Amino acid sequence: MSKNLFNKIIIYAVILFLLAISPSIVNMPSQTSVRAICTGLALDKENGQVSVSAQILIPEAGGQYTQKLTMVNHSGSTVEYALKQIEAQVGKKVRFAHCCFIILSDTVCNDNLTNILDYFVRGNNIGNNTILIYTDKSAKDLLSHTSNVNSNEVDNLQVITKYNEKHLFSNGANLLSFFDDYLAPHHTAFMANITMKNDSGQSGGGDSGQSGGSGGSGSGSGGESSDASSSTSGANSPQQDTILSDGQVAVFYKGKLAKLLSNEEREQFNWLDPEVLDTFIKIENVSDKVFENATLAYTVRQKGMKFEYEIANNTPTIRVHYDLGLRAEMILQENGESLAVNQEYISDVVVDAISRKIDEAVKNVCKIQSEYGFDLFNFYRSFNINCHNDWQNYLKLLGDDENYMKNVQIFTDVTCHSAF
Amino acid sequence: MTEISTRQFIIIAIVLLLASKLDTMLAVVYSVASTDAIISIILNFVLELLLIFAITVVIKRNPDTNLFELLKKKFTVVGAYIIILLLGLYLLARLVYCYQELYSFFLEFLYDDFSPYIFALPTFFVTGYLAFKGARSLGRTLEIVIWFILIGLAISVVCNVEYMSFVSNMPYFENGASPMLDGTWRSTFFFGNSLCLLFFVGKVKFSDHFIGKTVGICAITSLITVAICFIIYDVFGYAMQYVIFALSEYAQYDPFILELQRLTWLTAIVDIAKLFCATSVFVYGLGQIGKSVMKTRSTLIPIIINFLLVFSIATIINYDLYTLMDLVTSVFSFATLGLIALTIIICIILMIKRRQNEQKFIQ
Repeated sequence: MSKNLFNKIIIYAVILFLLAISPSIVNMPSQTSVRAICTGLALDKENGQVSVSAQILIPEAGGQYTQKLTMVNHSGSTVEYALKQIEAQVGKKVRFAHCCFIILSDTVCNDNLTNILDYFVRGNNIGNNTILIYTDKSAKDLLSHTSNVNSNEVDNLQVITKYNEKHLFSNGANLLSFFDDYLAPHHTAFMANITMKNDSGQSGGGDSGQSGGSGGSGSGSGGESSDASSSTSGANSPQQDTILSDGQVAVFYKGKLAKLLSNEEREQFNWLDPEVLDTFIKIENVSDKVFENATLAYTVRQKGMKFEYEIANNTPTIRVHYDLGLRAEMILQENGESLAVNQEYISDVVVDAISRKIDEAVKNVCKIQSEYGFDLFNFYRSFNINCHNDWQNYLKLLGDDENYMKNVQIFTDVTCHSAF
Repeated sequence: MTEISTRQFIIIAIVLLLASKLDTMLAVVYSVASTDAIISIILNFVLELLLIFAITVVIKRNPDTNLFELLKKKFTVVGAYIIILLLGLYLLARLVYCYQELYSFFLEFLYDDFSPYIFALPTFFVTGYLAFKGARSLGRTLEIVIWFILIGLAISVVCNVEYMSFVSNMPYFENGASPMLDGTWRSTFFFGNSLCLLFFVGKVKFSDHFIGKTVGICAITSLITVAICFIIYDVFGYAMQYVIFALSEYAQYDPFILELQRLTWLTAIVDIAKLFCATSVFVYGLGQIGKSVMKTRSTLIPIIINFLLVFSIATIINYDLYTLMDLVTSVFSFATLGLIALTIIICIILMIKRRQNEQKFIQ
């Protein structure tokens, strides 16, 4: 009898407990009334403070995704502070689960970027696969521009980044891959440079710190500035600008911007990346039994690459054996005549010229990496795996783990065949 | 007495093997063992397989009695109570961790502001009900859910394999064996799930080659899990320490997958199903312990008491997964290692005593 009573008391206690907590469940506001959705972020640095701009969609009942985006900006000593102020401005909690990209201006990238990005990678709000984009102009202006064209898929940052990753360089940066590269022994990461150009072909999007950005800035407490505006306003009329990626790549070493590779340099670097295909190679002044002083252009359809690593006489050496599948795309004679020959045309002279061109490109890559100290292809790991003891001895003798690229030499050996 | 078939028993073992292994555990091991983390995981899987083997042998040889009776017979009442109490403590810690993991998962991937009370109500009800209904219902439910888990797991794993380089964490043992050993003992807490199988003593209807089938399938599951761990470590590389819910983060690694939110939901469902199933088994184990200790006819009261305990502990630690992770990678992991060793020894003693009894009976 007493056991049954005890059982009943426990059950009633549980029911009471459940009833007590029920009101908190029922009395909850709708999500749309307390949330704002951030679809993109831009980080600049002004007067030593981080300027955070957020592209915000304030959800409404029955609203559509294409509804107007709002740009909100605030500066602060830390990203967290600036974001809190943005929330205060909007009057809602800003959430980042739909944040597709973070645009970083060169002013931010000149300092160690991990100090700023650490907030995002540790936080639970933002996806770790959020794309990182570098811009040599104002990040705020670029973001402001995307707010106008967000519905236009062609002029969309994501589309451009996706294309870049597939055709210009492999594995673009996202939040987590940036930290992976930063923490790895080679400390080298890279991301696409996306900029804006106006109709006249000049670079658009001035420094928002100087121009006042969109909507003009007001003063907040402690020197912080803020503004909230629809993206259509702005001193530089960003609507006339076009988002542009001209193949430049920003290389980061130890979290800081080390070098902005030009399109030409990026193409040279791609010769050491087996995953980048459809590379275009042009050779000039080719004379063989068919042509005289002709210009030939080939597309690399297949790129077989074999790497050999060795450390001889304390000099790390990489031998790269190429087996390229080429397709002739353009053949132009000295007199400007285009010769209709088979696209499979490859002669020994052509192979020699291509071989020289690749060797020249690879030597330049070596020179740049040695000058700036970065290691874009993680040769550190390759040497460490393939000749572990020799590599450790080399590092020990060098006495400086960070400048290991200065003695690295790369030799190439090219064979070609036609491919479609 | 028999309640579940061999097939259902194996499915329960698979769910326990998968639980938590592809979530928080990976970051925990990586933060300690760094690039040697995968070796630590392999060592712990070997330990868990040994445990499964020992438990299945005990189950096979004692088809007519339950765990508590068996322990009482072999180790006296006091011994049985001590062993049961130790098992109960581990299961309670595991249950708290599983609930906290599930709650943190909801917070991170589904709702950014989610009251623990709202979480507790349906979770406690579903897992508690499954455990209350007994081994047969548990086995049947898992028989259905396992297919969703496996298919979801396969899709989640396949979608980002292209990011593998196979060499991200090489060379191994660069800093000697110490990080690997450190990673091994600090993560043992996650590899004691199979202790729950002890509560199915006397409840399994054996088919042919019961031990071989169970251990073989568990070994294959372990191998596949190790392979998935390897893939995840390879893709995330040095950033692994920032990845708390590894499988879900991995499934969304491609930035362009962010555009399709469906995959987020798929991985969320897989993770939730996995954790729900494993949690139900833990609750079942704790219910059985409570039933034996409190000598009640039903497991309802022990299950309710367990939930109140779990809720109280979660409130004390302020629903903070990181506090729990700190705890389980220090004291609890060491204790789990001891408990697994003790269980294997107990199983061996049970086997030896059983054999001696059989010989006496023959004579």
